[in-house]
Amino acid sequence: MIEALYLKPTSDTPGITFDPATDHFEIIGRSFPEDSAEFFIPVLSWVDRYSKKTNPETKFIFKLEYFNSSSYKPFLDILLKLSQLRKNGQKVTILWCYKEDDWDMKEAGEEFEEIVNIPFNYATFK
Amino acid sequence: MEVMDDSLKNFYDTLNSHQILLLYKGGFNQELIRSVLALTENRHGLNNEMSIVKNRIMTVIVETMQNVCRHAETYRLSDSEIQGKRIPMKPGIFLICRGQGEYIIATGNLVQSSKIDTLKLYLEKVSNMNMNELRSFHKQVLKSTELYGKFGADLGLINIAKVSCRKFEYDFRHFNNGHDFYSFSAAVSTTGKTIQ
Repeated sequence: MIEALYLKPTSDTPGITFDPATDHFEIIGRSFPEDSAEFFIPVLSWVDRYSKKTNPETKFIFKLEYFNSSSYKPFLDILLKLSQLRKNGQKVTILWCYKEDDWDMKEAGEEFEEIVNIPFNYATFK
Repeated sequence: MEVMDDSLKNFYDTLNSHQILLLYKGGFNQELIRSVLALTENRHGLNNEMSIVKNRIMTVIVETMQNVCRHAETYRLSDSEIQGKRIPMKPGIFLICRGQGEYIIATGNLVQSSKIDTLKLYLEKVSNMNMNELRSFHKQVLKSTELYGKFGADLGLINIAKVSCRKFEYDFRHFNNGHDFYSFSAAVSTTGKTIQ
């Protein structure tokens, strides 16, 4: 089992909890880093390493308040890597959480869902 | 001094009459964006808005300001203008004002005159799309882009158009030899309305 990845949320980068030992895979908060590559490349590398030795089931949670245009591509890349795991026979589920009245955020989830072809579950938070 | 006092008073009255909540002129960076968001969110009026309205305002603030950070031109005044001292400048301006049932966010910055034809074509293209066309174009750009890092792969302008309640506005004015002043504004409805 690979080591967990924990990144605390800041005012412009999301909180990351990727912990195979506790089956906790979550991205929360806000994402509008100055340089999305600098922030997300290590995150994507972790997903690559995890892909080589996954848990029997991966429940991935996105609980975002806001993300900007340069965060779309890294989120899509994470989802595409998860989609590949599913194609390889792994059990992967996505829970997309959005604030109660923020239907733009729900629509963003639906757009990703359509592109990566993994069924998403949706939930709201306050 | 009297003239100065009158000018300031007139400027203050102008800001009030246009319901300007925040005005900034100077250099742009990520730290400034964080500060502007913190100031905007802490304003009493904005805290009472729906999450979707706050997020849409945040979308326009972040995308327009990051655009200035990434693409605004730095220019140098000529020696004669600054009496021999060469001072690098990256001028930009940002404001948020409250209109009738909407918030208006505007930025202004210098661009190379040689780049404005390409920029105008893209602005015109996105500006003329309806919501379904914007959704479709957003998906197409997202799926095809290889761009990464400091650039939003042209998604920023599409995102602004999607959250705006009417067409965004833009203008280019001659500034000096080689540069134009590019101004841009977008409006977010307080009721959640967008273009159709």
